Amino acid sequence: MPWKDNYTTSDEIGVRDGAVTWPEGRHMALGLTVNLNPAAKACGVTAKDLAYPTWHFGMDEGLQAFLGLFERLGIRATFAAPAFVAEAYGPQVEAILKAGHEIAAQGLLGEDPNLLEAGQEADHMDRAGEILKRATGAAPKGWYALPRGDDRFATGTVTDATIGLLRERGYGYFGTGLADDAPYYWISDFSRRESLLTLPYYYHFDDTFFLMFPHEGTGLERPAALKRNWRAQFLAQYRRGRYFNITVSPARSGWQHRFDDLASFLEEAMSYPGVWAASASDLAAHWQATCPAETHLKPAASIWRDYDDSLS
Amino acid sequence: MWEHEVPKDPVIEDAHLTRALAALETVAGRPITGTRSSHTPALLRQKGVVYNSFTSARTMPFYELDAEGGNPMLQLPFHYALDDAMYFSFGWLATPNAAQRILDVDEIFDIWWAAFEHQYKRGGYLNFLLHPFVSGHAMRVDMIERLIKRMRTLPGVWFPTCGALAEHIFTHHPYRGVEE
Repeated sequence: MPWKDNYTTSDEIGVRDGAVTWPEGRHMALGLTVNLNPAAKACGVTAKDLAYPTWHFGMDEGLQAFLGLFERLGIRATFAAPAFVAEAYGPQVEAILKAGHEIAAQGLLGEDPNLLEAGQEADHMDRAGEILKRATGAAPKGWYALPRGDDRFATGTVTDATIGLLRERGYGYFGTGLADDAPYYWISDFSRRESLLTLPYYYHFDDTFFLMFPHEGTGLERPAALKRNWRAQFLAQYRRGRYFNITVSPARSGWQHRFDDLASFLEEAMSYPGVWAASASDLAAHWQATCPAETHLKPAASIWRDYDDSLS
Repeated sequence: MWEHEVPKDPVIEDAHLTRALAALETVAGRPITGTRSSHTPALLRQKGVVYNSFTSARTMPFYELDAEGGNPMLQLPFHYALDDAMYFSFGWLATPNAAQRILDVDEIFDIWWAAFEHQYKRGGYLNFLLHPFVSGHAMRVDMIERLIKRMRTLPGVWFPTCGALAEHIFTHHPYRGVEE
């Protein structure tokens, strides 16, 4: 599709079902993102966010329940953590890594980089990378920008510079892409055809928007709708042999009946033959190897023209 | 519309509509005869656009006159209850977070089936609004397939394009002027 400055982030060409392949002949890939950002607002984690008892529940009982479930089902998950959280919760980070899961970056404080002063985004990214490297023993391979409860959009927030800055810092993937339902390339510089592999995210599969959204106590509680969405999309993507990602937080989906929903959904999904429940960096590495940007990213030239009578 | 908005200045409106029709006709390879927009009926008719689908004032198609009582335009009504974005898109029409009610496919299947059944019983008409970036998601494609298959279990359901429906109405129910 033609490139449109300030509007498009990809080549807008979907991969056909038959062209998607997974390692060792497996049929579909299942990405499980665990959101460890307690921030409700764009500024990132505040003292108020950390004071919620449910946050403490999530980092204790909820996380233990998650880890037990993932181990039982053979799922490798990706924990998207603000660097601050990784630094402050050493034992939890150790337990996550010991269980074979991945820890990816989600900002310094789970913040919206659009609120930062010019030049600060790169600084926050560098500090986040350093902290995560110290906390986990290796530089993070992926970066997430998951939406917070009070965000005005359910897409996560990036600036025009974010993807380019991640590329420069050697990140292998960006984990919050809404432009496709299979991995795709987010174009950071159209003139140079520079891009970063991006993994799909969709808020209809994120517990943030169904379990007391937007706020605990007053928010909408719709666990059945969330589970129906998970099942419907999983079954559709399984039939097509594509990819499916769900995003959950131990503070939300670790709790009682909600945990039963997550467990029964994942049990059903993993009972299908050929489901590859891999970490995001493994998924990204596979996609990068089988569908590299050099052959699979095909942006057409821009057709954009400015008109004097434009209203926008 | 050229920019999903109709300019107030009639000269600019003409320029925008002319450009929009030219672009769409290049893609379609045939004249464009319908719209969903608030473009001026007289201008639409002048450009060969003979039907609109931009009102919920009646359930069945009807001829709508402009403010001066002229330029009859065939309207093929739609309704927000049959619009996928109403149910599936976060922040639709700038709604605040606490007002979100994003629904799942089974809930919408039930709502849309009820709407269809109501019109089927009276031999009526329905016009669904689907956005590819909304209903193109795999689970919703499956739901729409399920819905269409169930509709087809009933005899005599016609699935025309808006253009074919408009032609049918022009042939069998032409505009006969305002009844005195």
